[in-house]
This record gives sequence, structure tokens and C-alpha cells, in this order.
Amino acid sequence: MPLRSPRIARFVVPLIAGMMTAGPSMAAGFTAEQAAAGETAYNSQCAQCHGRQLEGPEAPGLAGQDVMQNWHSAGGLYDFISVAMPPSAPGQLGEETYLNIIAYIMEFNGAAPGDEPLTADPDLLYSVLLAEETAAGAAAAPAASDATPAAEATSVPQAFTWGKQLPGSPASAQPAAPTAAAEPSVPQAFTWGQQLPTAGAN
Amino acid sequence: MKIGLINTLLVASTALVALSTPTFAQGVRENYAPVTAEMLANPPAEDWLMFRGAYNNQGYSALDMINKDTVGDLELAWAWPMAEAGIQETAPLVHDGVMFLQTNNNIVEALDAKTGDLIWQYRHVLPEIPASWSYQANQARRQKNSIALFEDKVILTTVDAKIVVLNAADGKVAWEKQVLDYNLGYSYTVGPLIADGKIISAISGCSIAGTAGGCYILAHDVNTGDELWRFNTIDDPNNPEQQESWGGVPPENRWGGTPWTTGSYDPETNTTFWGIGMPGPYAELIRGSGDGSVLYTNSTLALDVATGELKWYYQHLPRDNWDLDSPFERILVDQEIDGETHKMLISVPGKNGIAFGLDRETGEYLWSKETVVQNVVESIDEDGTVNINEDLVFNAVGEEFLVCTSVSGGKLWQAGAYSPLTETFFVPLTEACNTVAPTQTEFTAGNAVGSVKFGPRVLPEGITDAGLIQALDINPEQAESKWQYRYRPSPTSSVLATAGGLVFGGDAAREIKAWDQETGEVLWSQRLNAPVGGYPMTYALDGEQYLVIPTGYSNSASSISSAFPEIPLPTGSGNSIFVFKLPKADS
Repeated sequence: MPLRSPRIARFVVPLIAGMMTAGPSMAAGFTAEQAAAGETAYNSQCAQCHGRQLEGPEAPGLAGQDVMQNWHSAGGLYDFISVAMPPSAPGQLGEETYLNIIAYIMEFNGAAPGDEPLTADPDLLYSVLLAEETAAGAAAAPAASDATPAAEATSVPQAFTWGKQLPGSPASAQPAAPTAAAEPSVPQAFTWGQQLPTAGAN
Repeated sequence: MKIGLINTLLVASTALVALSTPTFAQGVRENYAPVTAEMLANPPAEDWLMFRGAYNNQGYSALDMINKDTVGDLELAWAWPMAEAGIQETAPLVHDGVMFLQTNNNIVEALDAKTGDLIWQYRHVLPEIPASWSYQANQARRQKNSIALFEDKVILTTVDAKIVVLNAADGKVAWEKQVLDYNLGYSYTVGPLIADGKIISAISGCSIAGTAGGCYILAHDVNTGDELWRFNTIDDPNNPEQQESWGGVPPENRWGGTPWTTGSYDPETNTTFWGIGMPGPYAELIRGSGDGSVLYTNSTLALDVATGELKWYYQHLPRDNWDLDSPFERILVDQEIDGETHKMLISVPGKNGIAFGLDRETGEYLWSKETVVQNVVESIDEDGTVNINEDLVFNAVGEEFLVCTSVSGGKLWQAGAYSPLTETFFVPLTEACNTVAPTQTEFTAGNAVGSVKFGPRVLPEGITDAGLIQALDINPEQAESKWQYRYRPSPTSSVLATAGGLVFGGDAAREIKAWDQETGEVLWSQRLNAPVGGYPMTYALDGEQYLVIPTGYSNSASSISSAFPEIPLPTGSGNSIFVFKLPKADS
């Protein structure tokens, strides 16, 4: 199968500069129309496995701040779903539909729409940072807010590096991680909150 | 084996009683013959008593009525839809004319193995968990492998971290025990092993945030449920080398080490062998473990069943940075050569697809053999030291490498089979790579601690076939390729080897195939309703051999379906079993 993107054909692929030098994130990067169209497409193509509330369980859930942090940017999510999803017709929904679905996933996770549409321009896609755009809404996202009292009381460990600056951690604008590290509700990585090196940073 | 008539008695009068328990038993199998310890040690060829048929995990049947000459005559005897959707990885068992079928969410059904009629059904009542615990919820829908049979009981391990013991005759709960706290994320996804009067089990969910510091293989008394010992795969106070290998990361910030596949057992030495999964977080940059090997992740453990003490370990992939678990089936093989018995442990233990042979008495490395394209292991020294490709170790958050194999394998849960008939190891594999980039993630309850962004699974450069069935000629000195069968779709089921000279396995294209063990020639194939899944097995009843093929929704099909777009996957789950047999000779 030909690779869709030459980016992933290389063995060592530093992230493009756009990912590291995220511009001002005033705009959410998608429009309300895109999110509305994305909701329809999502419910038709994705909800069977990922759930109407993006909760799964037949496939991984798509709601929650940790999910947003793991995909990192709209580009990270686009690179994956535009090749692999849905499994019955992988990569066959068309660029516009994939972008709309990303807009809906972002909106569901708390991001607010803006005036500028999400496009397939890689620089734009990698500059739309999911955790930042959805941070405000994530705390009140439906998936999180319906947690039982038992869940709210559950404190989990974090990574050894949690709260530490690691290479790659944004130096200027501290990510949500160190902020939250003050009162972690669950265990975090040993390196959490550390400033880690950033790929492509000098 | 003489099988008596199965009497299924409808006992409607017990319905009200059943309402007060999780049990949903409709019928009774009278005069069920207990499974003895002797049977577990030497399983009758007619039965399929455990996960891979025997303690050695070979996935081999001594039945030979279905063979190279007759396989083309197979016809459908009966079929059955499973009770639940979700990812299908079931390992049906058969004893005394009863098939025991476990499906997702810990539903167990007892079926008449001859007719396919339901005898009883047990539906485990799972606790409700918050919707935000999506990783944990998804785990309940990807139940791996098996249940266990012992005496007159069926023993299962559950999504909510319980051991549940049912009466084999009627499916009613005899007793149950809460082993670990599911509120922390602990969850059983692999079935238990019954050995030496003990239930040996291994917990999953160890990459969920709340489980920090502990991932366990445990032993409970098979009659009382009393815990006898537990072994923590990521925190061994008796081994300073293990502690140092985490590079200063304290136990409370360690995750992973999940034993994702039911272990094997050597009754002669009373030793059980388990494979251990990856560390968490996945990347050492986030994990904080520096260049430490993070023991006992990606290792084989040999544990004394009497005490739970570690006899030896061997690490197949130190310093994992890419979620390339090495927890898959460990197979015990004895070979007589020039009057000497060689006791080996063979395996393709990890997602990177490298086959290993070890001396199972000592853990000494014997040989290794690469199969699919991989770029994470650079070399393996003669003493068995595995050297990783340090060019793929992340130095910064967001740094991205193309890593082969992918997080979906290479090798995955689908088990290989070893045929003593041809001394060959048959392994289902997938050619795949993906990009990996570490992220900094705040962990949340019920969710995983991987902290990595994966790209889509793609074929390695220059390769057009995702699927590979690799036949490896095994001896104590080496493994050599006997044959390879390459095809477009990914293999999605475990494989079964038989004394009929056949090896059976299925794929994402919904096709079950029978290959000639010697040549790799396809001697039979049948298209079914969904990707072939789970663990094909075989049994005999009233002088006829039956072949059981599970089908259903599979991550192994969906994760790389973009590599074979000309074969669309069904969107329905389709979870079913199809049971084939030969036409009666006199009809």
C-alpha cells in the first residue's frame, strides 16, 4: 500500500516546526458548521464503536483531557483517522469529513468554534493543540462530569516525571500538566511537570 | 471416549432462586464427569480441557480423523452466536460432551458439543463504572482467552478482578472471591491455569493509572480461594537488580508488567512460565527510568508453583520505548536427540515478532530468529543479551520515529502452535509499522498511562502483504524457516496444529484455512461471517472429530485494514462459533 504521507515513510521524523511553535490559540481552529456536520458524520461512521458520548467501549474512548493530550494536535488525530478509520472503509471518508469529525471531537471535549475553518494544511493542523483548545471545556465535559462520587474520590498516581520540565515541554507556556500537578487527583508519571526536551526546539 | 446422553432438564421452578444471584442457569447437565488432576496433566485427545489444550501451551491436538486426505470434506455441523459483542478472543473448552464458551463481560455458556443446544448460561453482573473510565470499559470488551475446568467446576477470572467458580453441571456460582480492587483499574482479561491444587491467575489493567506499583501473578487454593502467594512483576524486593533497573523510579510511579497471556506449566518441576508486558509510561523519557532495562517487563518468568518464588527470568526486550509488549504464549517443548531430552521453552513472546528458544530448566538463551520487519532490536549477543536500537529512543517530547513493528504487532495475542509431529512452530504475524511520539499527559482515573501518540499502522516499505504465517523448524540449536505463507489480510485468529498433519488459522478476510504442516500448501478454506478470531480447537465425540472456529470483531483486523482496502471488513460484530465435522462414513 502506498503511504499516504511521505512524513511517515521516513524512519526519523522530527515534528514539523508548526507543532512546537504554536501560534496564538485564540481561535479554536474550526467552525460551528464543521462541528455540526462532524456530529452527523461521527454518529453515522464512528459512534457504533466509539459511542454516542465518545465513551467507547467497543473502541477506545475519545473524550477526556488525557485523550486530547495523547493526540496532541488536530494534525496528530488527522494523520491517524484519515488513514485508519473507519476500519470498514479506512481512509475513504474524504478529507472534508475527517476534518469535520475532528471539529466535532474537539467541540465535544470542550473547544469553542471560531470563524476560521479547519483545513488540511499540515501547518494549521499541527498548530491546533487539542489539550489547550479543549482545556476549558474538558473539566466540565459530559464524560467527566457524570463520574460517580467514588470516581471523584479516586486518587491515582502520576508518572515519576509528572510536574517536571522535560525536553520538549513547552518552556514559555507551561502545559496544563504542571499546573495540575500541584493537586494531582490520580498518580502521575515520574517525569510529570518536568521540563522535557522539545523536538525541533533549539 | 464413550459419551452418555446429555439430559438437559429445564428447571423453571428455580428461576426465582436464580434471580437473587448473578447466575442465569436454565438447564442441568446430569452426571457430568469431573476433570481430574490426572486429566489436566495428560489430557485425553477427545477433550480440549484448557486454554491451549495442554499445560505445554502447544495448541496441538493428537486427533487425526481430519487430516490431509479428509479435510476437503469438512461440512458444517452447527453454529452458535456468542452472547455478547466486543472484541472476540475466546478459547472454547470441551469435556464430557459439553462445550464451555466464554465471551466478553464474563458470560459463560455451556453447550451440548454434539448438537449446539444451550445447556446453561452464566451472566456475570459487572459493577457500573464512570463513563470517563473509557480505557477500563474498553478492556472489559476485549476479554482474552479462556476459562478453566477442574473437578466439577468451571473457574473464571472476571473484568471486575474476581475469581468466580461455577458448578459445571448447572452454571450456578459455587463461590467467588474479590482478588484485587477494580476501582484502581485492576481487571482480569486472561483465564486462569489450574495446577498443583492452585488457581494460578494473572491480573491485567496494570497500565491504568490507579494500579501504580503492583502487577501480579497470584495463586489461590482451588477449593477455598485462600490466597497462597503473589508475585509482583514490577517490584521485587528480593532482587536489587530489578529495583535498580527502574533507574530511580519508585514503585509508586511504575506501571505495566501485565502478564497478558495464560502461562504454561511443567508438572515435573512444578514450575509455571508467564510472559510479561511492557512498562508504563511507554517512553523512558516520560517514565523517568533513563537507560534502565525496567525489569521484569517484556520478560519470561519461571515461578515455583509451591512458593511463588522466582526461579529465573529472561528479558526479551529491555528498555522498551514503544509499547512493544512481550507477554504472549510460552510453549514448552521436549525433543529427544541422541538419547538426550532437551527441555525447551519456545515463543514469539513480543510484538516485534522475534522468536526465542530458551532452556526451560535454567532460562539459558538458546537461539533467536527474526520473522517480520522490525527495527527496535539491533542485535542479540550469544549470551542472549538483547541490544535495542538506541536511535529510536526519544530525547524530547513530540520527537517522532517510525517504529516497526507497530503497537498492534507483528505478533499479538493470536497464539502460535507447535506440532510435535513435524517439530514445527507455526506463528501468525502481521507486517506493520507506526510512528510513535511521546506526550506529557496528566493521568486520570480508569485510563491508561501510555503517554504516547501513535500514528496509523502502515506496511513496511516494499511490502504489500500484511499477513504472514511463519513455519519455524525447531531444534535446541536454532529455528529455521520451513515455509512462509504471505497474504494480503492480517491473520486474526490463533492457530491450531493437529496430528492430521494440518495447521488451521483464520484471517481478517473471514477465511479459515488449513495448511499442510510440511509444505504450507492450503488444503482447505472456508469463508465465514466475520474475521476469524479466538482460538480454533478440536475435539471428538462418538467417534467423530469436530473442528471449532470462532469468528467475530477483531482489533487485529481493524488496526491495519487500510493495508487491504479491497477486502472491506463487516461493521457488525458477528461474534459466533462454527463447528465443522466430516460426513459420516456410512452415510
